[in-house]
Amino acid sequence: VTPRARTAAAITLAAALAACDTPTAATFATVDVAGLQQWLAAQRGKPLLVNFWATWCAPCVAELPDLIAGTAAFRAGGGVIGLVAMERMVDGVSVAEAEQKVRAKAAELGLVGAILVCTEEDVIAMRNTLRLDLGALPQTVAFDAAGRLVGQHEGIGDAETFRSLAAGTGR
Amino acid sequence: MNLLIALTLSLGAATLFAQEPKPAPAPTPAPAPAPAADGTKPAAPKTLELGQRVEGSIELPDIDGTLQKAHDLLGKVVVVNFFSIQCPIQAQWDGRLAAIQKDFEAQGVVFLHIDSNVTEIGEAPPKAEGDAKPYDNVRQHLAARQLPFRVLVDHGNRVADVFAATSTPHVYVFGKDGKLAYKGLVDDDQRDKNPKGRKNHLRDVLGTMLIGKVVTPYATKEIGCSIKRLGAGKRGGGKARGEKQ
Repeated sequence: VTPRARTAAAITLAAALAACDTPTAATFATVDVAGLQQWLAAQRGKPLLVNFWATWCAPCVAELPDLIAGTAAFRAGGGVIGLVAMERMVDGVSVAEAEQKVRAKAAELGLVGAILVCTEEDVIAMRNTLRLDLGALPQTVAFDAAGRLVGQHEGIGDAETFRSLAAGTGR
Repeated sequence: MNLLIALTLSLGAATLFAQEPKPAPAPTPAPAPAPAADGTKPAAPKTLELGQRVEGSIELPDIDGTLQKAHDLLGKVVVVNFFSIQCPIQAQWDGRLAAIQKDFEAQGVVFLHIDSNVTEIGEAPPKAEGDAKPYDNVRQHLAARQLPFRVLVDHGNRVADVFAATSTPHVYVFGKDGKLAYKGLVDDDQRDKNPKGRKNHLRDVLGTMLIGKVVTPYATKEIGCSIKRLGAGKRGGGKARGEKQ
């Protein structure tokens, strides 16, 4: 990622952060792991669900409509959802391709929330940096307003799964 | 051979890898476990922990219909990998896994690759249709990628549930005593970018076992694609902690 791309990503990220207060809108940002850390830190004070997904992951795509449906009340009450797209876990996907695929899928599915295209390729390195016990995709983690990890679901979920995770944040 | 009768899973009757072989019973007709009438899954069997042997007598057919019986593995080092033909993360490890298999099969280690993904093998064993071989998608994948894997089919993901397997790939290593010594990653270099610096978990565990040293059981957190379990997506699935009921 070039410095210019980093600057552009930071601007996009700032826009995404600002737009997070609109629970029915989708915002897009392209982030590396440091950017994702920054985004997570910026959510302190709000309950948060973060879903790790990818367009190449069929169960990830299958569960996203349920995630949106199951978190409607959570988002209306001030909860934030972040959809972190791990497009580059697979071989040969450029950042530009990743962004294009994620935007297309988001439009197709009517996704809302902060949609973060992650440039990181190596999930093991990523989880060590984030100190999150990330495993198989899809995966959803829940944080309370104090930033504490309060829930985690590995594998496909349904609307009740996400309602339950949201409830666990105290919202 | 009628593949419909090839899957037999009876729990609680014996201990995997650790019991003297008994005369094998004839395969019992046992279709993939069906959801209960109320839509719930049958009660989950006890899951496998590090240092434990698998409880129960597990038998699974491979894609040719040949039954792999747990008792036949007595006294052998066994590697079980939960496998997918569709997961791109599995594909990133396929080559290294095949190389490890080649090196250690020659020393008597048994490698079994289990496909538990309903999206790949279907809900139940396919009916025989003429001369067509079942699981053609799996056969084509193995041939195209030149993978020397023996693939067992786990309809209803009962064995994946016993192993508490979540991901593809997800490897398990059993020592000659039948106890689970390691589970998790093949290595910690998902993208094969650090061959000199990576931790080769699977290769190291096998190497330690084969020189007769004790492996202190340990696990690493697996990564990959979640196993597509029967019914998942209709009512949720996967593994959770911290969800409000």
